[in-house]
Amino acid sequence: MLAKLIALDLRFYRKMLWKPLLICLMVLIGSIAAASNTSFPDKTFAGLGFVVGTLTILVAIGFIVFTMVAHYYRHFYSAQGYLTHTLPATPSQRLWAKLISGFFLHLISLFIIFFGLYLLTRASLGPFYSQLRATSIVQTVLDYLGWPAVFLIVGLMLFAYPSFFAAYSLSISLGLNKRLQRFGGGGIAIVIVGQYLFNMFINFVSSKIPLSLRIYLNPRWYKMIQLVTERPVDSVGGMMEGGVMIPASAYVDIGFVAFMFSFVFIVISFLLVHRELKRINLR
Amino acid sequence: MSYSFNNELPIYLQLIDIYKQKFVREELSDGDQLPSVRDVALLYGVNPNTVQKAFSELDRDGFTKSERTTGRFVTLTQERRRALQEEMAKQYLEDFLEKMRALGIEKKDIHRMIGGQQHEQTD
Amino acid sequence: MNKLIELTNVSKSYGSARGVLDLSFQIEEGQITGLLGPNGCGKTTLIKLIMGLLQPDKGEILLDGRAPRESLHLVSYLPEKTYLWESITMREAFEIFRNFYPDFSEEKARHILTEFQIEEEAPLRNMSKGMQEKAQLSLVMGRECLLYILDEPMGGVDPLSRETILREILQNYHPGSAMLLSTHLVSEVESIFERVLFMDEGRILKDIDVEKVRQEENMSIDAYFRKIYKNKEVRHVG
Repeated sequence: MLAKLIALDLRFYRKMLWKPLLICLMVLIGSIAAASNTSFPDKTFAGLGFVVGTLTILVAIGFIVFTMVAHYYRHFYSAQGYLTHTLPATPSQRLWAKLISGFFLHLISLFIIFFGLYLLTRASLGPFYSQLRATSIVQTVLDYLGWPAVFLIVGLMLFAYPSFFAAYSLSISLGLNKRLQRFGGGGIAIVIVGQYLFNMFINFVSSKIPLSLRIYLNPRWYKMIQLVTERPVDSVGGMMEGGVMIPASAYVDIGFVAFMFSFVFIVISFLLVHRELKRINLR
Repeated sequence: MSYSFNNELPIYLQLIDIYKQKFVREELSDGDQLPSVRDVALLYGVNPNTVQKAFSELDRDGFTKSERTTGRFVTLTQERRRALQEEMAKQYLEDFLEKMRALGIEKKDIHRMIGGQQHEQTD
Repeated sequence: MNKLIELTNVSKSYGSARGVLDLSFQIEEGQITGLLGPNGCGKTTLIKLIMGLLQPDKGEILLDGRAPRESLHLVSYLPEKTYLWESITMREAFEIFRNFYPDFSEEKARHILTEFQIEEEAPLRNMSKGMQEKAQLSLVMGRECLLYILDEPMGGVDPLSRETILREILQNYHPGSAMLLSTHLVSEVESIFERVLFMDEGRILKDIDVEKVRQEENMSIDAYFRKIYKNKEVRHVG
C-alpha cells in the first residue's frame, strides 16, 4: 500500500514538473553553451551565461519545492482529499508516502544544483579550469576540508529535507486543524509564524547555555564533532599562529540545545501531523 | 425501464397485478420459469426486495412455486387461470363502475356507451 | 442481519452552524435506503461522517462493526464534488482504481463509461460537469463491494442518463450489499428505495418503510415528502 501511495505521488510530481523542468533544462543547456563562449573579448557572453544558468537552476528548484508543498496541500485538503482520505490506507501510510516521495524530489534537486553548477562553472572557466586545479588556492581549500567534512556536508543536505518537510507539513496540517479552521488559510500563517518565533526562542536559549557542538571544518575522523562546555559563538574559531589560522584547528560552534531541537522538531511535527490526518475534517 | 409505476400505490401490488395479467393472457403458462428477482428488478427499475415481496405472495397464493436450486415456476391449471381471469375482471369492473359513479353516469348510460364503443372498434 | 452502518447519538457542528444533531440509525445488508431532505439539512454532513471525512463531536460511527477508517475498503463512495483532477483521463483513473481496489472491475466500469458515451482517453477538463459526474460514477459503480454510498448521484445529469444510473445502481445490488443514496429528485428515484430517511436541520425527521407509506397514506414518497416538510414549515429551496 505504501508503495502504491508513493507511486501515486510520483505520478503527480511527474505531471506537474516535466514541462517546467524541461524548459529549465533547455535554458540551462543554452546557458552552458553561452558560458563556454569565451571568444568575446570582454567575456560578456560567458558571464551572462553563468548568471542565467544559475538563475535557471534556482527557478527549477523553486518549481520542485512548490510542487512538493502544493501537492501536499491539494492531496489532503482540496477536493482531491475526497479520494485521498477514502483510499483503503491508514493515515500513517499516507503521511510516510508524502515524506518518502518528497525525498525523491529532494534528491533530484540536489542533483540539479550540483551537477548544474559544476557544468556551468567548468564551462565558464573554460581552459582555465585545468589550470585552476593545479593552483594553491584549490589546495588551500582542500586543506581545510577533507572526506569527513564531505560526509558532514552531505549529511546536512540530506537532513535539510525532513526538516523542511516537518516545517511545511506542520504548517499546513496544523494550520487547517479543527480549531484553526475558522481562520481559513490564516491558520497556516499562524503556525508558520509560531514556528519562526519558537525557533528564535530556542536559538536564544541555546546561545545562553554553555553546551555546544564543536564542528571542525577540517575534521579528522577522531575529531569531527566534539561536545564542549562553552557557549556557542557565531564566528569561526580556531588557533592562530603568526596571524594565520591553522587549518587543522578551524571550527564552528552550534548550540547543543538548538541542535537537539532540530531533530526533536522533526519527530514532534510528524506526530502532530499524523494526529491531524487521523482526525481530518474536510470541508 | 419501460414500465412506469404509479408511485401512489404499493409497487409490489402493482407487480403482482402485472404478473397475474401475464398468467391470464397466457404469456406465462403452467410450467414456465419466471425471471429472477434481480432481472425483474432491473427490468422494471424497482427495489429487488419489493419484487421478492410480490413473488412471495404469488408463491403463497399458489400461482408460483419456488424451487431452491432451479428457480421459480408457474403452477397454474387452466381451471385456475379462468378463475383468476374472472376474479381480475370483476375487480377491474368494480373499479370502473366506481369511477363512473364518481362522474355521475348511470348504468343505462354505461350500456349505451359500451355499445357505441363496440361500434367504433369494429370500424 | 449484518449491520453495515451503525450510528449512535452522533453530533457534529461547524462552529455556530449545526451540522447534525444526535443521529442514531442502522443500515442493514440488503437495503437500498434513500436519504432525503432540503438543502442544508445535513445529508452531506452525515455521509461525510460515515466516510470518516468528518469527525463527530459526539457519538459513535461503525462501518461493518469497525471505525470508518478501518472499513474503507468495503465502501464505494461517490461524493458530491468531483475528486478527480483536470488532467486525468478515465483510462488513468481506471489504472489507479485497479491499483488500489482489488474489487474494482475495469470491464464493468468501462461498460458504464460506454453507456454514457464518454471517451476513455479524453481528459476531464474536456468534459462538461454532467459528464464528469457520470465518469466518476463509472469508477464508483465499477467496484464490487458491500456498501455503496452515493451523495446526489444524479445532481447535474440529464434525464436519460438518470435512468442509466438507476439501472447501474440496481445492477450492483446483491442481497449481501447495502446502498445509501442521498437525492432531492425524489419522484424519479423512489421506486428503488425500500426505506427512506427524511432529514431536517440535522435531525432525522422520519424513518419510513416506503411501501407501507404508499399503502397507508395513498401517496407517492414525493408527495409525502412535501407533506411532512410543509407541516414542519420549512422554507423550500428549489
